[in-house]
Amino acid sequence: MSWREPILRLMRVPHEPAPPPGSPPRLFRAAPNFFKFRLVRWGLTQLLALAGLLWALQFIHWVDSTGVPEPVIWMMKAGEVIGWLVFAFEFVFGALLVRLDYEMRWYMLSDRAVRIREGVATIREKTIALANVQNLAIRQGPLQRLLGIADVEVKTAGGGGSGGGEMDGKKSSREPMHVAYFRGVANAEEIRDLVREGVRLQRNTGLGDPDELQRPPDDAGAAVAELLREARALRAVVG
Amino acid sequence: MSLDQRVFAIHRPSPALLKYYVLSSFLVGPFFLFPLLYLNFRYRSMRYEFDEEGISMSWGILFRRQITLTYARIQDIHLTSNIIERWLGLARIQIQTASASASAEMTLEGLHEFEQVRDFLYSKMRGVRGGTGTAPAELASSDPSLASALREVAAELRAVREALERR
Repeated sequence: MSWREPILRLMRVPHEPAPPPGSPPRLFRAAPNFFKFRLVRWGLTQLLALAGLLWALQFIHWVDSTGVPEPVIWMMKAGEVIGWLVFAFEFVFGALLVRLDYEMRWYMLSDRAVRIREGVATIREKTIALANVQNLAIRQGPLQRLLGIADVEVKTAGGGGSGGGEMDGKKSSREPMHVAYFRGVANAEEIRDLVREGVRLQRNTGLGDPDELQRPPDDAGAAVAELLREARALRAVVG
Repeated sequence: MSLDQRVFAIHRPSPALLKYYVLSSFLVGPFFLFPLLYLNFRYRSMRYEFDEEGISMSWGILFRRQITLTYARIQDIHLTSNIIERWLGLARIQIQTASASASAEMTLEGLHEFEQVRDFLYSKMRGVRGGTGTAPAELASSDPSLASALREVAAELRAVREALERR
C-alpha cells in the first residue's frame, strides 16, 4: 500500500470528480514538470523558513548576552523549539502535499462546460459553462517556460476586484471566482483552441438572457415551403 | 422523487453545519465565544427557499439578510470544501452572477446533497437553458400567427392558380 491511501482517507479526499454536463469530457492533467515547478517553489519557502529559524537562534544568542531577565530568555527558547518542531512536521507533510496536489488535479472539458477540480486540504471544484466564457488567456512565467508548462486561464463576466460580494466578510476565499485555471499543462495552446472551439459552438453570448438567440420556428418554415410550392405551380400554369 | 422536487424540499441546513460552526469557532482560539454566538444564530436563522425561478436565502437575528438569485442569472457554480467540512459530509456551493464582485454572490452552506443541488442549479443556469432550445413564451405565441399568415397567402395563391386553370 502506498503512502497516499491513508492520507487521502484521513483527509476525506473524494476520488475523481463527476464529469461536467454535456458530452463525455476530455480529461487533461497537469504535466509532470508542474510537480517540479511546485517543488521548486516549495523548496524556496522552506529555505526562507529555515533562514528565519536560524536568524531567531542568533537573535536569542544576542539577547542572552545583553542581560535580559531569565524568564524572557526561556520563553524565547521555548518558542524556538516549537518553531523547529512545526518546521520538521511541515517539511515532511508539505512535501507529500505538494505531490498529492499535483496528482489530485482534474481538468475536464465537455462540449458544454469546463470542470476543474484542484486542491487536497481545501478542494475546489469549479464548473463554468462554455456559453458564459468571456475570454481565454495563457500565462507563463520564466521558470514555467523553462519547464515547458503554462496556465490556461478561462474567464467569465464579472469583476476581479477584492470584496464587494453580497456575502462579503464570510470566508470568501482569496481565489478569484470568475476565473478557472488549467494549471501547469504542457499543451496549453491545444487546450486554448479546444475551449475556444467549444465556446464558438455555443448559441448565445453569455451576456443576455438565456433565450436571446432562437431558431426560427419550424412551423413557419413549413408554411414558407408550402408557399413556395404554390408559387411555383402558379407560374407553371401562367407561363 | 425528481431532482427538482428533492431540491425544492430543502429549507434548512443540516445539523452538521452547526457542528462545523462550533469547530471552526474554536479554531480562532481564546475569543471563540464571539464567532460561536454569531454562527449559532446564523445557523438557527438560516433558511433556504428554492422555487421555479430562483433561490432565496436568509439569515440573521438582529441584522437580517435575504439574498434572492434568479437561476437564469447564475454564471459559475463552485464547490469548495475543507477537511472539517468533508469529515462532516458537507461542502459549500458558491454561486456567482456576472457582478463585479470577486467573492461569491451566495454561498449555500450545510447541504449534504451538494452535488445534486449543484447539478440542479447547473441545469437551470444561464447559457445552459438556452442551449436546450426551449422557446420562451412570447416567441411561441407569435409563431402560430406567422405560420397561419403564410398559410393564408399560400391559400390565396392556390385560388389564383385554380382560377387561371379554369379559364
